[in-house]
Amino acid sequence: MLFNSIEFLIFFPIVFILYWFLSDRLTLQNLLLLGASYIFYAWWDWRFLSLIIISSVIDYVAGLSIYKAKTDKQRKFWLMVSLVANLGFLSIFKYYNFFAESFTQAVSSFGWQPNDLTLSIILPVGISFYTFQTLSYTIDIYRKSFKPTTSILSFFTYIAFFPQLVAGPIERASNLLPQIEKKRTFNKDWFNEGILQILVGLFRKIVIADTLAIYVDTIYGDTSLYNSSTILFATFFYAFQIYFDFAGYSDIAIGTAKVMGFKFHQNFNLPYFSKSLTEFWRKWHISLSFWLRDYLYISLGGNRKGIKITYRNLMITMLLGGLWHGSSWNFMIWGGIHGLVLSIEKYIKSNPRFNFLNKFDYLGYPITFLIVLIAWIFFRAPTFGSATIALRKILFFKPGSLFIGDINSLTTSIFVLFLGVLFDYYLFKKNIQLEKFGTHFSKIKIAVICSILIILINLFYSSSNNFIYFQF
Amino acid sequence: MSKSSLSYLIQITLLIITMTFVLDKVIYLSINKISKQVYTGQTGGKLNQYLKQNSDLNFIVFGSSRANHHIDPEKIDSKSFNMGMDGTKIVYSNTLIKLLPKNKKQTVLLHISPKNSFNSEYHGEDISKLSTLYHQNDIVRNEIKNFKQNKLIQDFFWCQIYNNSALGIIKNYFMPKYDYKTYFGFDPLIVSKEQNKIFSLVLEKWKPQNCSTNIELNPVYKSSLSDLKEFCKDNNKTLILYTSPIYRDDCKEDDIKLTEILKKEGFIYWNYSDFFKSDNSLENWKDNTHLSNIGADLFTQEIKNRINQINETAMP
Repeated sequence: MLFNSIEFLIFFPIVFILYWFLSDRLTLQNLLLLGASYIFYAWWDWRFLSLIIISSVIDYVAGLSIYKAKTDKQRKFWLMVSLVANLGFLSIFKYYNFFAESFTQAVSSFGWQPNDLTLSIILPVGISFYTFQTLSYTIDIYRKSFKPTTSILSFFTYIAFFPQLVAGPIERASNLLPQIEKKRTFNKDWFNEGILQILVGLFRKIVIADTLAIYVDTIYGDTSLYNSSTILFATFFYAFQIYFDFAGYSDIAIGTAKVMGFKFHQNFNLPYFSKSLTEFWRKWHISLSFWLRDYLYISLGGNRKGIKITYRNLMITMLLGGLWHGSSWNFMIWGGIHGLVLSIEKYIKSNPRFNFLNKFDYLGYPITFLIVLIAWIFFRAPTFGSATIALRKILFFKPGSLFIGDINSLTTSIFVLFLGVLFDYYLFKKNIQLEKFGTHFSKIKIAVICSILIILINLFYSSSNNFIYFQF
Repeated sequence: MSKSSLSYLIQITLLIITMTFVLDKVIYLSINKISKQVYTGQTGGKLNQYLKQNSDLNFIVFGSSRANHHIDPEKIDSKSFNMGMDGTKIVYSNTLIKLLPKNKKQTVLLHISPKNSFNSEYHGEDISKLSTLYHQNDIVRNEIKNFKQNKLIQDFFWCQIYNNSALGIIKNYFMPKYDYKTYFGFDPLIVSKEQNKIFSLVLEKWKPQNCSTNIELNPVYKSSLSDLKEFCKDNNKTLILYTSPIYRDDCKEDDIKLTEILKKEGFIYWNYSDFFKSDNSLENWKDNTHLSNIGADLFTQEIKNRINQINETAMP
């Protein structure tokens, strides 16, 4: 079920009313959440629900077993069970065909022509997200930083909780599980904040991102057809399309959870207002970047083993982060670009020779945006070939007239993008987090802002596209 | 949930619903008022001009962008209009034809695409392009309902009918694109070098299309054609169906089949798919299905000759 669908518009109010109706009965309330979450997921494909249930069973047992294990060997064994099972599912469903294809191509360059090894596999929606969520649970227990829950209902609800099930934010058990296990009370401020964030998220997604997608999809459909100006313009649009798409999804998820009394962590914090790529990654898809930092980068040694190992760790983390997004070399290159620039930034920061650069730190905003923009080419282009064509056209820029396409659609794109950027700039200047935007607003003010947003959505929404991050 | 929380929830929900309802109507009425005074632009002005002038016209062209950009009606009749609209198909045109005055003698030239006629996925979605008239015109409202393009939510949110057209309407209100009194609805495509280059590249990479072997007239087309025939017969209209030129047409079966069907049903039908086959110079084209202004001039001349022939034959 999509957040921007009529089905969800009917589904959520029903769940919301029943949920608060059961507010004095925690077990029933959690049962309702679990049932609703499974319906939410099964709406897409009920067969893959079994995968979530199997994954939940394994990690529930593994979590308790790690905690109760008497020897390190036993603890390691149960951690391995969790890692192999979760990463096994992910590898089969997400990466098998990629590695099979890469293997076939590699050996065919030596003259050997093996049979087609690829399989017809559907990628289960949200597998990358809930796999990381379940992994963090067992790893935290293994590291003794979290105690497992004995309640199977709470654990299953934590894994399947519908606002974050299919595209995050990747909420750690340490944050979400205790909230599931204690009684929630209706909080007016949280309701105000949540409802505003849901509507802002919807506006970002179905108005801005989906409108920009029309132009981007046309140009990136075949990059060889268009000139440098057009490719650059489309890439600029894409930078905002993906931001408003995913930030919009996260806003709806965080807001939906909040009106039900759950507090998620912030997932986007105006990432394009960053003076360095390091800062960008503290503001972009925060739940993933912190996950990669805590469970991959630090596990590899982080920055504790010397500067060379730090660079290596950064590159590995970002390359795997790229691969997490999708099974293609383009995502690896995207991760590689980010890893390389992060390493360069680390080198500059650790070297006093470059302290004079601090005087020019305002240049960090456009430079960071430019690097992110270039990297997005690999993220968006459907093939490596089309990415290199687009990159060549931008780097060896030949001015030419811009491809307009549908003038009405382009004008609307620019207008709604302007509104979105203006709102973000307002939040940035006032140093307000969107999560807190609705705090202390009166009833009237909330109602006015909500109705303006609803009218704007009605006037400018574009035909519904799937959320980009569903494919990951 | 405590009583005070429940009361707050009810209050805020009612407030949001009431304010949204009021604001929606205010916005709808404002845009509607502006919209009625706009006679330029594809987002509503052209439709207003058509509704205002259609009782004075002798010759009207209907259809998709392949009608809009290909036929200059001024060269055919001084009292004429091209009501072709991008992205529309038969239901949109059929509905507009039904808005023509009863019993006035008029010639209706309607573009029909063989590919669309046999597309089983088409259900009359293009009628939604007339949704700005949903609250104003019974014929349009009935057609929108008939093709199930009325969204339940639209009955609450009236301003939704201006979805993605509000900006265009406001812009054309303050800065009209042209003087509508000298506009005949024809929008020639003046092709830039860049566009020409893009089309050449597309042709270089052209992959022949797979043609469907199961060709059956779409039920919506079937019923619309039957409606049109009856309306035109009862209201003194000469209906001519035609297909615009196409640069490269890999599937000919649908053209043959459509010609057969229309002939059998007694329609006047001109298939010009291969009109430029003997001189397929790229300067006549913008892309595979759209003529440039140069190509449109040549094609208009051909249509003019053919219409004249019909008129001469019809003369007593």
